[in-house]
Amino acid sequence: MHDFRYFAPDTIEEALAFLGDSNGGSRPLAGGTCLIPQMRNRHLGSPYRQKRAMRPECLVSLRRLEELRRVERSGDEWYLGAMTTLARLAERETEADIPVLSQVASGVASPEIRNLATLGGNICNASPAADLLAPLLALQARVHLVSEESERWLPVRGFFRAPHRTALGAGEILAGVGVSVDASASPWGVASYATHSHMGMTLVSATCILEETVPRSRARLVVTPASGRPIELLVDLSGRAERDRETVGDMLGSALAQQSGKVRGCHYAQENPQVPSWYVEHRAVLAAQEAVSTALDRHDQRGSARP
Amino acid sequence: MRTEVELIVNGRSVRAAVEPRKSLLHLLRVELGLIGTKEGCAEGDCGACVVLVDGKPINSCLLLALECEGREVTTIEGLGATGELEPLQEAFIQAGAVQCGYCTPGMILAAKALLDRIPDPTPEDVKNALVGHLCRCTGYAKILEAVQLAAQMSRSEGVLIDG
Repeated sequence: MHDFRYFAPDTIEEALAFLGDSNGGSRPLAGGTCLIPQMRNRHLGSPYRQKRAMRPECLVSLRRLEELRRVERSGDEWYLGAMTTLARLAERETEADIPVLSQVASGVASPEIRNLATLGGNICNASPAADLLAPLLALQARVHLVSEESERWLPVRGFFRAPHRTALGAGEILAGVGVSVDASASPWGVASYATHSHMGMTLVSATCILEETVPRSRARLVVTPASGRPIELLVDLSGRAERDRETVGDMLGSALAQQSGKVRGCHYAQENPQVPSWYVEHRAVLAAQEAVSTALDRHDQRGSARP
Repeated sequence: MRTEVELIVNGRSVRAAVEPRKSLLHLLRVELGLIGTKEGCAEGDCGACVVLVDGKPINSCLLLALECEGREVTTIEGLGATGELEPLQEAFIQAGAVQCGYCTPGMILAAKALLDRIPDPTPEDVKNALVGHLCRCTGYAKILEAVQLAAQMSRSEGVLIDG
């Protein structure tokens, strides 16, 4: 690994001032589970990895910033600090009750990785294979960005620009994530397929949140194929209860067909030619159907009539 | 440039000077000579380098040494009283869960974190706790048996002590 400087500020003000003065040469360090391997050049076998290699002049550790570990209710939202570890998110006893995020976080990699990896790191790394991307988009979550001069909120949808590119400005850090309390309590379903049953790279994830609006119900479905951009669909469930799987499958199939041009030459295919895009697309349809089906089952278990 | 870091390793306060780019794994093996912790993939995939930091298992290859300032680290050398084995270590021997032994320290520390949290784990709990550990020799069955055996041994010890 190359030489770099290390700075561990005690306050967020110090961290922002340092990042603001560094002209882009510094990077915030959260859990490090993605950043550290990207900085190790002995593992740069493929052209893709060489492109993703990072050589920051300085790492700014966020570990001591307690305010980035805040998990609390703030009005109609749960506020999750960016340094919340995936292990803490996976605990159902945590202060915020967001079962869909807990479920997805509990399946990420291994307990060892989850003890290091953070919510903020997972979002800022902006991998299209990130496990939390689909549930955060389906929950219509928003990110809280702060810099030395200002702070702003952005929907997660607007934060992801492209694979590994975000709207994070120079000198800006992600402080936390806001998730609607109502959306968190809605019936939900998730499904994903990975290269291996455990510790594999996620090929496709799907999350469905049932939105119960009067007079009709609809499913907000997000599918994140590692081979392309997130796909969001709103599925009207009125009068379609018996044909849910077919409806979702047809709609998703069409959406994916429209995106086929974007899928080609994607980063994941470059690194993993053994996983062709058509396979990811096929799995995407299955994951979407399973997510909607599970959400509807949860809805039924709550004692309401199926929408 | 080397920077000083102070932490607690196996119950002892330790101060060392390391370069910012060095991992906790490097600090343990090279600076402190605790070579029980192994390096495998150096990407967090194999679990050979797992140690406990503040009681939780983590991949020491992914954590910078300087990130451990003020934290408590337990390695395989820190288990058991002098000259005696922990129930987990004893159980790994009894169950025949060790062949080449390279993955064993990480496996035992991950299992210790599990048993500290869940003294009577189900087979599914054990599998989930060891999901981040690769073993190329044993085929895993004996390792899973060893963790269950250690849980039984710890419970028996508890009964004897309580009784």
